[in-house]
Amino acid sequence: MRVEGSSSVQMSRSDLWDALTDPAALSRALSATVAPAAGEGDRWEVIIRPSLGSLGRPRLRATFELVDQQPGEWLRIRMHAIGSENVVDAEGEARLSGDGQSTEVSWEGDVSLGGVIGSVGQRSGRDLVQAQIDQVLRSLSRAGA
Amino acid sequence: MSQTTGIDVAEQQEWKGQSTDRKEDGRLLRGEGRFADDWNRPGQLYVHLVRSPYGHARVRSVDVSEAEELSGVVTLTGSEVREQTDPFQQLAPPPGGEMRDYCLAGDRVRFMGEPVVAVAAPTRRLARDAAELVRVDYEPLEAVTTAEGTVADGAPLLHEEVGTNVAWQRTFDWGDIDGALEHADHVVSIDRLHFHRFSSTPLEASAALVEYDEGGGWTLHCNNQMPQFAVMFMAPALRTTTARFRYVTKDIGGGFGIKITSYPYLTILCLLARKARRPIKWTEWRSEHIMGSAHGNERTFLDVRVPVLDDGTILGFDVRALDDVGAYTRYEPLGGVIWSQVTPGCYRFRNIRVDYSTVVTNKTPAGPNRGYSRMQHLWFIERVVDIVAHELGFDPVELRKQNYIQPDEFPYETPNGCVYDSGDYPRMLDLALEMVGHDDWRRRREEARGSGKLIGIGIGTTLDSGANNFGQAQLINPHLPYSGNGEMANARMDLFGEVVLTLGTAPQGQSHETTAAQVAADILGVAPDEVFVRTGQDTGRGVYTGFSGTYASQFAVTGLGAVQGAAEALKADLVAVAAALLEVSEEDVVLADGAAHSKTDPEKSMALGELVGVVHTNNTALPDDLEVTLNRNYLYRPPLSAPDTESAFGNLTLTYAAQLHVCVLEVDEETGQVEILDYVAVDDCGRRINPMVVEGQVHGAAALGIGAVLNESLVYDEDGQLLSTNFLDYKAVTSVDVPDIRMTDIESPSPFSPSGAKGMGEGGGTPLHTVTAALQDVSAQRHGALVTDTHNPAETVHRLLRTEGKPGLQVTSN
Repeated sequence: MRVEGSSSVQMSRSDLWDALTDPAALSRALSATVAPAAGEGDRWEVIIRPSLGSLGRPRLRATFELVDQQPGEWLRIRMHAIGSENVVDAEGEARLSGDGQSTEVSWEGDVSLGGVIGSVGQRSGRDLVQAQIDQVLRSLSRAGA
Repeated sequence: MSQTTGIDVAEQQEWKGQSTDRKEDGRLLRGEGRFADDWNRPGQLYVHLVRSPYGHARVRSVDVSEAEELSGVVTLTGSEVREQTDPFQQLAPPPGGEMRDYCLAGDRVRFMGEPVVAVAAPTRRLARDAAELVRVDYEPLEAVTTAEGTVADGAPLLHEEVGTNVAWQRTFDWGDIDGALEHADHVVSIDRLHFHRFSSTPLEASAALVEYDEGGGWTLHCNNQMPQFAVMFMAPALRTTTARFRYVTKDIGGGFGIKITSYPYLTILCLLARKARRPIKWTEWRSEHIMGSAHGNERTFLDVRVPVLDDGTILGFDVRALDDVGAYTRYEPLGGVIWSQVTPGCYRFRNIRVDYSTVVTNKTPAGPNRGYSRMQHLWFIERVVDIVAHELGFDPVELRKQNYIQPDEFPYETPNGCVYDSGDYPRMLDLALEMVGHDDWRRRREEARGSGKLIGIGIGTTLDSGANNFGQAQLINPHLPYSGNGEMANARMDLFGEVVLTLGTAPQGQSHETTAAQVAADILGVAPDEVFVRTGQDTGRGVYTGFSGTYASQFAVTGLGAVQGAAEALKADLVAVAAALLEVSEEDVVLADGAAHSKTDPEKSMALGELVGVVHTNNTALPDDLEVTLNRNYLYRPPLSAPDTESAFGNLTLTYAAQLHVCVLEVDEETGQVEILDYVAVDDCGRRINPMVVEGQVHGAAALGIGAVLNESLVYDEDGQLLSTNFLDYKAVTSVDVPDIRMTDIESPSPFSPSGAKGMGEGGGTPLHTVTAALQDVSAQRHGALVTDTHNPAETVHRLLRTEGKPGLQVTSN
């Protein structure tokens, strides 16, 4: 599924960029994280347990990879998360704009849900993914404030 | 000896034919049923399976080290399985016979939900947590999820060792279809009809507790409904003999055929039990059951041609059928011949050609879901009849009556040598039409036009062929050593004179205990309440034969035939003892009211309990030359012979129950929403042992069909992702979805079965035929587009009403 959106984060562009490229900061911001990030460079792994309503909170091992970037401007991230009967694949791009104490973030990407949670994907996957992205940006915003 | 009046045999109550209360209900309603998940053993480990989230993928690596670091966790991987087992035997000849099917995936997964690693732990939660620590590295592969796609050039190959996605193929050709097509007055051609993928939804998912015996065997407390089929696959795979397995079933919460092919999971449990040296317990989650147990066959009918004469006589049909059985052929390709038990349906078609292929796709493997293979074919037949009626301007009622096999033609031999035992389809149709008020509904249908609602009336005629001849397996593969059928039962008197029956079947709600008790009661002169029927099957202590189990609409014939034989043998023992003790001839003895009586001397009688005591515990009173055991086995064999494998000719089933349904429905033209306004069912299963039980089966089968045609569908995307893995998305039929089904019956006794009863219960998917016929009737009031699929939710009906022209249909006339 295609996801896209935009948000305003109460952080300077440079601080936001640092957070988005810091695995530890990102994993702290993601509410589904249950174990801190491990890895180095442009590739890291976290354990997440996203809440999926009646389907519970399946445990997924998520590998993030920073695929491409223009520092301070945009970055492209790929994620592959897999569990005992579920898989999530995503790749997307985030663009930053604005000067001062707040930064505009726009994003777009493709997400596929597989396994048991695939049934969720057809009904509410887009909303779930959007909610996760919004939640990360809000967390970063609170941390910045 | 007790004083009594003379006994008039003719006045004794007959229990067969009575709607006696079910013996099973008491314990079930009190919550005292014993189901597979109720079994527990000290020290047991619980199993959770790591399953593929992909429809098709290569397995690059499996790492269980993190999981095994947890205390008490034991794992089983695909590598271990390949070291310790051989692939499950295949029923198909090459190329399909080359398929290598194991209980866990190896270097490839072929359907979403395929088990990859089994994890066992001291608690259920720990097993699930440990499973989440297993690392499996997948490389997704292109998937193929349609029958037409899988046979197309360039389709991904599922099994390299098979070399093709067509696991089996045969062209069946009886009569002279080419001649019929040439000389027909009209040929109706239909491009495509599709029977969709759905399944039954037993309340109880699969479960088992497996114990390993240090002597090298296993005890499986499970809910498999045909353990003898399971052991034929498990024993060779585990490199041992069938004697090493003891299967124990008790109450089973629904099976519907799906619980026949659970043997891969049972094999996993056996391996774990042996590895861990602990009892192993496994219970499916609902989503696991939906994606990993078994689905019904999905069949596509292509290039249909139907020759018809001016007077409406349908001469036969020509069709290409692709049967999508999912990723592995487990019970398949038996479906490739089982449909031919009912080749012409209820009709006198004599010229038939079916080019049939069993194909594999990246979906859950098929299992023999209720109505197995016949349901798909019978829906096709009824669609053909209905479409011919609409397109050539015949009344659907009169066209059916004209083409039905007539009552005076029974026993009727079909073009492929099956013998329909008895029936009266025209009478069933008349009864159904009268019951539903056909003339009144026709008037109301016309009145409804223009109101925004359209009323449709549909008829569905179907057969429930029962008591299989397993010789049909030889039509698939002539080297298979299977033919005939059989079932065993034991009847004995316990020490205090209670009748005890042990069956070879594994019922899942078919009331075997009740009907078996009725049959035995009639023979032994007791009440059904005085007959104790052991629950379920126990191969360690019970009786069984190679065909034992509960499946294929046959208990009334095979199971009760065995009960009848065992009870008759027991009766012979009792009569012999009674004659000796009462000092009368055996011909003078009658069993009634729980005692043995002299017919001619009312002074002479003996309670069964007293009589039994003489045999078991007081036997010096028995004559020395009287050899009785009061413990009798009986193996019932239906009179069947092996079919001719070359011509595919021969009798494949012993009995043919029939059902005829009429449905009146209303469609909202704006939304496509369907509401069933009236629904009637007429059943003919020969001599009914317990009418209440029969009605329950008819009702249940009808509910299943209604659910399937309007709601239930197992939907896959193009990547092999099953999108309906739970009851949120798979809309299983509930009581609020099922209309009030009004029923009646006729009885056409079978001349071939011991009691005149016919096997029944599968129902033949009648609502699928009936509702699609009613929707066709609705469509005829708009543009007349064909109903070409068995699944018709509101969006499909909405589209149907707006489809102009008749795509996929051609009528040529001479």
